[in-house]
Amino acid sequence: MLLRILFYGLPLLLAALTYNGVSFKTDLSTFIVSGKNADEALLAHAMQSGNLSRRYLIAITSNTNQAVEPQFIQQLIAQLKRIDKVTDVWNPEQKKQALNALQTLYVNHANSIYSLHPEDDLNTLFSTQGLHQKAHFLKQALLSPQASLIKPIALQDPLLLTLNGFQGLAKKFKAQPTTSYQNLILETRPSGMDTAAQKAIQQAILARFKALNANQNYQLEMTGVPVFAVTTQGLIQGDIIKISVVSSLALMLLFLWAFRSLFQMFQVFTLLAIVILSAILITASIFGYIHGMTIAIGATLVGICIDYPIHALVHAQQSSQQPPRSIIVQIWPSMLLGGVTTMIGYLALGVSGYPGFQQVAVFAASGIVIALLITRFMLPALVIQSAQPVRIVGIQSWIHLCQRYRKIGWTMIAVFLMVAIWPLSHLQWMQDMQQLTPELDDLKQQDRRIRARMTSIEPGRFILVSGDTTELALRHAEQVYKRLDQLKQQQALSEYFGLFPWLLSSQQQRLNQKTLKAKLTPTNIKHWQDALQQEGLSVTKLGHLNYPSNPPLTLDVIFKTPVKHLLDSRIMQQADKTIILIGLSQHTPEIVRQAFSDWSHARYFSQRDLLNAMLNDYTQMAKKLLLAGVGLIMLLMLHRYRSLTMTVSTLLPALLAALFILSSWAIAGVAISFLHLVAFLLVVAICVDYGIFYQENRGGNILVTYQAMTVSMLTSALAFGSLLAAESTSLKILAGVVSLGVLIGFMLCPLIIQQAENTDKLKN
Amino acid sequence: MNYFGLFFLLFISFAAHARDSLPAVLKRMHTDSAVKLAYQERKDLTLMAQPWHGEGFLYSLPKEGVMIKQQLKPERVLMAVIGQQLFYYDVKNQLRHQGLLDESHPFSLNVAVFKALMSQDMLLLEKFYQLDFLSQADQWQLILKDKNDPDSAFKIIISGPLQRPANRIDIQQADGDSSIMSLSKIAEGEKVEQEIENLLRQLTQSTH
Repeated sequence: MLLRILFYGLPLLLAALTYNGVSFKTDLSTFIVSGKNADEALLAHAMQSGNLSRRYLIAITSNTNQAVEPQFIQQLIAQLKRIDKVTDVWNPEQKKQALNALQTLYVNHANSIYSLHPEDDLNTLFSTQGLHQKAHFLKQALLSPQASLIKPIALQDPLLLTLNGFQGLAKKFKAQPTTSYQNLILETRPSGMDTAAQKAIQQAILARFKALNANQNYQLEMTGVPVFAVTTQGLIQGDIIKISVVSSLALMLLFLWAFRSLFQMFQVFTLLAIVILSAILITASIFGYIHGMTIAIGATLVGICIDYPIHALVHAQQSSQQPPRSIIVQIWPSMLLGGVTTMIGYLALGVSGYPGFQQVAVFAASGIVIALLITRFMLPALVIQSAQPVRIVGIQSWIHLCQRYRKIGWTMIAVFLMVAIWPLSHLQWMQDMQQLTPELDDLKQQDRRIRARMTSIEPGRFILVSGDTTELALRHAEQVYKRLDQLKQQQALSEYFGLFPWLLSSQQQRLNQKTLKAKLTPTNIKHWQDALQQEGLSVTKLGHLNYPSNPPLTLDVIFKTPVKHLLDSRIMQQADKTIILIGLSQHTPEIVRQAFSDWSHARYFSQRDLLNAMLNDYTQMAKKLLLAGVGLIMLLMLHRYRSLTMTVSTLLPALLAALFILSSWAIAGVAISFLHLVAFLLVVAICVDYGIFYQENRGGNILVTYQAMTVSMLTSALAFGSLLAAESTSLKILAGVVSLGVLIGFMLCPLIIQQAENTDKLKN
Repeated sequence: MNYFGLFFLLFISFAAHARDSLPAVLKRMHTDSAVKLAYQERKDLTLMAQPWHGEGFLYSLPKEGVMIKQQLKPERVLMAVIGQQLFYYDVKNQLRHQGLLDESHPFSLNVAVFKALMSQDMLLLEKFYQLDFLSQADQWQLILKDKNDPDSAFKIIISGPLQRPANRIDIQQADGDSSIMSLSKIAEGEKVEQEIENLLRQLTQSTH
């Protein structure tokens, strides 16, 4: 009685504990690349929670050919700034911010920020022709529409050194040929991965835009990490709901059809509830939270864990003379071996290298252990034997057919093996990790479209420069600029976007000051005054070149000005490391990569290449795991059966099923990823269970055993098949491979395993 | 304040009468046709040792929101405002610039003033400037001062003979710079529109 109370009360208790104590996450941070080294780890961290992750890029496009009204943009910016948890909204056009910064900040550091090559630049400037050209330029500037900008600069910096670097910068940015669109950047306080907060912000952005855009003259598009995070989270949440509903309904219907007993269905689903809730609690206690994706993949566990009570119930139904306890004890060794082999499959997931799968492995392993223990130690006392044994039509005929035509069947298998191995050489491996998420293609295109309007920087590709301090990182970056200039001359690179002219190392700034000071000789100053006179400019106001020796400009000072917005996504500071990202325009990746291959503090970094390298690593790892997993399962069986023939015949249905699927993919030209291989491992692990049950036939009646296997195969196929309802391509891959694999493995068991002899051997 | 935006004020063939009031003058300002003015300009800049002289033509096509300054001497320079965009083309040095007239640009205020005048929107005009309209014995004067700082040295004086269009603009900047521009209308109508099209083509052809 106590056991019954415990059994039926446990789900409620576990549900209460789960509801109150478990933290659920649906953000993708755990599934995002963590990086192989310290630089990449810092970068990944910045992408997940730094400035990069907290910013939206918003594009306002005119629906007509009319320009976007500046007043509309100003009103929109004001409205967007009022949204809760939005820290700032600004126009990313660097020109305007650069002009403001020139007048307020950089003019005070004109003699230190002006050049990366001070000696060369000043030699050109202080030539007779150079000074005359400069004086003429100054005059033209004072007479141009930009006079209001130039005049205050010229008063402090008559040589207009402040403008030196910025003139080069202006050329790098695309001229905006039309004003039919306007980009804005919106920064939020919460991380881009905080999908709940970001979803509310996105809704508020759209609502405020809609209210302002009553005439529907404009449309709004947005991109950025928060947009991808919210969309992906929506996909995952939708998947979990769909999978849960579809798999629960399908399993219930299957169970009712097979057992014709509501009570037994209730018992088994109570067991499953205990298993799933316990698995959630154990996983959450180890990791501190549980991810939505873990639950989605872990839901397939239902189809596996249900196998153990199904075997127990089917055998109990068929043997009315024997008490349930002795029947379950009788089949327990098969269940235990089957459980262990399945666990090997799931644990392989955990070490496959795919970050999120560690949770899945813990979730599944704990679920399998609990399901086995309850089936063995609690279920016997609860089972009420049914008067209506399960009879699935066609099962008996299939066994007889296999026994009768075994030789033909084996011949067919031999032919199949020969035919199936040939296409394997044409197996295509997935080269691009983005193929794993085609459901985000629209969003990726939108992202490319919006970013392409801003600059010609290729997204996700840059030179990653590091240093123990910011000063060292800046010095390394200055070496990199020189190498990049050479690459530009070689036409391997069209343009790059570093921190110059916004910031130089203190070392370079001091050198610039020193070089200029040396050039300000009385002779040179006299030449300058002559040039001014020739242009009709005031020698009194502009002829005395007094450049004070101010302390070098630092990042801290810049970060207190609006220029911060331009730089903080390109420089990442930690206590013991600073990373600088130098953006690249169109370039030849191989040449640029090669150019920095032997640099210790700088290297070419491609986010996409990194992801693809990881895909390759995962695939290689999955291949090894597949072999290791099968090897481990084989060793376990050899230990059990002490017979190579029995071991091979038990494993063969599973291996053939996997081979069949692999060949099918090869013929169909499907690109194979590490997920496919992991799915194969699962097929092997689950199908080996069938082999074990069929091989060992502990109940003594092969028909009953195969009936039980049929029901468990159907539940596994249904549980995994329900993943087909998901939007996520990763889950669909798992669904297709595993469902088909378990069906084939199940069908092959009576054909390959000569059950009668083996039962005798086991009993002996 | 930059003088260029003030061109907007000039393309209005407004005339004043001895007993005119500003609203009455504004009422007669409106014109849709293209106008061409000849100008001579003198700038006294604190950073220049001697006054600078320039001359050329000013064009306006109010219905398209187009204003062009074609400087012919001492060097050829083209400047234009088209809607919210500013174009600059230094012909001799082949230098081109293009930008948006956003709120922070000095021209933006002038464009707003122009629009206010064109739409006879006194309230909008008064939003930016303190306006003084004087009718003297032989000429009229419209004086614009910074509304937020009317005591500063900044001042724009638009003037013309009685019953005649404006023929002079004086701009005195707060920092001591000043400019004087003398004007005379020389053409109006379709032919001017064609000239404007040609100039715009030169300005925009290679900025894209």
